[in-house]
Amino acid sequence: MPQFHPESPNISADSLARLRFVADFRKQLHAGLSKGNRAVYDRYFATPLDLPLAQRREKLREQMETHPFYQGWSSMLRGSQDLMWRLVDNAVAVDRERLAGRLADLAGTARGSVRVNPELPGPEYITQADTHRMPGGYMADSAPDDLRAGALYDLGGAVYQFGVGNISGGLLNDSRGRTLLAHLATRFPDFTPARILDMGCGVGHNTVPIATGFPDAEVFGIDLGAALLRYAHLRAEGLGARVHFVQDNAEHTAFEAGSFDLVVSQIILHETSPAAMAAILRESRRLLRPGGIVMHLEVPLRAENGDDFYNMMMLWEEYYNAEPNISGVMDADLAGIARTAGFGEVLLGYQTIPAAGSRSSAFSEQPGGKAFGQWLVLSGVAQ
Amino acid sequence: MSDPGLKGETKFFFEPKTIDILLAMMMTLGSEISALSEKLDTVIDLLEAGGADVEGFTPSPAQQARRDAARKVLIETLLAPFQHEADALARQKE
Repeated sequence: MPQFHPESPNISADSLARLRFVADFRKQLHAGLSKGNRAVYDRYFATPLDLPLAQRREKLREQMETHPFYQGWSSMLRGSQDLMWRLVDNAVAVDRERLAGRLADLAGTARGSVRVNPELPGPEYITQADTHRMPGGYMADSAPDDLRAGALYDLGGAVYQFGVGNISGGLLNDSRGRTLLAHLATRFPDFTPARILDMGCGVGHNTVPIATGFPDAEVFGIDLGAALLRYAHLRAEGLGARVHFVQDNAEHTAFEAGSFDLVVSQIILHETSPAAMAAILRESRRLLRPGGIVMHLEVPLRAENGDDFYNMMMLWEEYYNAEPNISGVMDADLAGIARTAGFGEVLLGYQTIPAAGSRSSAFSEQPGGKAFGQWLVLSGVAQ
Repeated sequence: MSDPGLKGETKFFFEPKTIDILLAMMMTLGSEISALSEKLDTVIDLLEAGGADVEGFTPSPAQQARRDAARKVLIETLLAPFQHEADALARQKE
C-alpha cells in the first residue's frame, strides 16, 4: 500500500488486496443490494404504526429482523466489517516494532507532544462495547509504546475510503476538520483563535487540518485512548502539524476554565450518551473565554429528515455496530442543549464539505440532497 | 438442500438451514483458496528462481485497473444469488 501519510503503517500487497476486496464487497452491499431492504419495508412493513417516532423505529427494526433478506444483508455488512478489522489488525501487527521505533525517535525533536494518563477511567459508553467493533476498543493500551488502536483506527478509516470515494477526505480522512474551518469562515470570517481544543480527537484526522489552518495557534487534542493519542502524535509530526495530545475526558477535562478561544469536536457525540452530550456542551462552555466559539460536527442524520424506513436504517450502526448514541443525536434538541449550556447565537445546520484546498463552502439550515456531501454542525458563542 | 447423489435424509442443524448451506460454501471457498495459494507459491518459486522480485512488483495503472475490474466481477458473482433476491423484491414492490 502506498503511504497515505508520512508515518502510515507499511502493509503487504497481500493485505492490501484483501482489504480492497472487503471495501468493494461492502460497496456492492450498499450500492447493488440495499434496495432489497427498502423493498421489504415497502412490501411488508410500511403500514403506519400508531406509535411515537422512537417506538415506531424500534418496532420496524423488530419486523425487519424477521425477514431473510434483511437478515442476510445485515449479517454480511456486519460480518464484512468484522473481517475488515481482523485483516487490518493482522496487517498492522507486522509493522508494530517499526512504528514504535518511529515514535521513540520523536523524543526531543517533536514540535508537538503527547501526554497519557493510564489511570483515566473510561465512561460506560466507551467501556461497555468496542465502538465500531474495533478489536480492543478505543482504550486498549498494553504498553507505553502501544500504537495498535491508533494504527487500527487509521487504516480502518482508510479502507472505508476505498469503498466510498472521497467523502471523508480521502486517505487523510480530514474532511471533517476542513468542513469546520469552512463553517468558521462562513460564520465568523475574522475570528483567529489563539488556543484551540479538539475533543475526542482520535488519531487527529481532523485536528491536523485545524492546526494547519491556524499555524500560530496552540492546538490541543484530547481523547480517552492512550494508543490512539501516541499514534496521533506520530502521525501529526509526520504531517508537519504542531499538536499537543492529552489523554482526558471531554465531559470533564483538567484544563483551566476560560482557557480556550475555540472548542470543537467531530463525530464523537453519537458515540457517547444523552447525558454525556449535555456534559460535553457544558464542559465546552467552561473551557471557553466569553466570546469564544464552539463547533460540534456530527453525521447528518436527523430524525426529522426522513421517513420511518430512513430512521430505522440510520440506526443500523447503533443496533449492530456499537455506536451507542446515534438515536440520542438524531432525536436531540442540539441547539437547545447548547443554549442551556450557556451559548448564544446558536446555529444548527449543514455545512458542505469544501473542495480540496478551499476554505469556503455552502451552509444551509436545511439538508441537501447528498447525505454525505455535508456534515451537520452545531455552533455558538460563549456568553 | 437436496443432494441427488446421496441416499437418506440430510440433517440440517440450523434454523434456517441457510446457515448450514453458508458454512458449506465457506469450506468450499477455503479449499479453493488453499489450492490457489499452493499454485501461486509454485509460480513465485519458479519466477524467483529466474531472478524476478515478486514482492517488489508494483502494478501499472492499467494492470491495477484490470485487477480492480476482475475483483468487481468476482464480488458481483459471489453476491449474484443475493442480488437476484434484491431485484425480485424490488420488482414485487412495483
